[in-house]
Amino acid sequence: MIGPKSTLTDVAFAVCTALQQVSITAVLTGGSAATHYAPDAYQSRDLDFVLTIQAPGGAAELRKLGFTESGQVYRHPESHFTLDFPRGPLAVGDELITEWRTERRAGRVLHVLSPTDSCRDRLASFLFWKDFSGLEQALAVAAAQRRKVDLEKLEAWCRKEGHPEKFKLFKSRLP
Amino acid sequence: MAVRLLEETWGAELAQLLGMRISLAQRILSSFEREGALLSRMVGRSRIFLLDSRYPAAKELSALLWKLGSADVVLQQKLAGRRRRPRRAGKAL
Repeated sequence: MIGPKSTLTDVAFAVCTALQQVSITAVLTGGSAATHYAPDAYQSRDLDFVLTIQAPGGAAELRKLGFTESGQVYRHPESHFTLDFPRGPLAVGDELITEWRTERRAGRVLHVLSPTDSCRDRLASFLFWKDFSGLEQALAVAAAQRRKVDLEKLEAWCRKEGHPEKFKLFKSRLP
Repeated sequence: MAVRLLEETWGAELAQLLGMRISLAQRILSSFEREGALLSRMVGRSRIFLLDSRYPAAKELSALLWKLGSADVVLQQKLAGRRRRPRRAGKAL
């Protein structure tokens, strides 16, 4: 049951599970994935889900959870978190993401970017938009998920995108 | 250093990030432009400043500023005070 004390992760599990029940695979991405991995460091107020498998019935499942469509997002009367379903495909920059992490908790499921891809997703805003808040969020994910972030993959990607110096700066900031 | 790290900026943004008056930020940017280290261009009604690649020591200056800025965590955290990545129109911040 979603309520005022539900965390972003609580809401994410509920939404993902509900959609999975009608064969929709929704992957948590963006700032909300970063919040899931580093809740103490960064708080997103909306949950971004990219639908990798679509089927009818999603809106009805969200209504059962208490969400109603409001413009381009879904809102819940008991929660300050909103849901957004940005257009796919699931990607970081122009690189498609075909694998993600699936977590299970008390009979519920959550599909979410891997810690490495969540880090990469946040770093993308630093690389492409010179957004230092993206750098701070990437650092928060890397610190919270220390052994699960593949630094070699991040370095190779930064190099491919033409920003090796930005990876060096990111790495220098890691604890 | 902030201009190098951000690659381009404008008076109001710099003032907000560094906690100074807009007029002071604009004066500082204009003085660097007069010295030739920065150039500016108009985007709408805003004057955007960036390093001038035609400055005689542009490459060295850019490298030095990046090196110094990369080591300045306090500055980086100040620059994180403003979202620069795009957000879809109508989506609350």
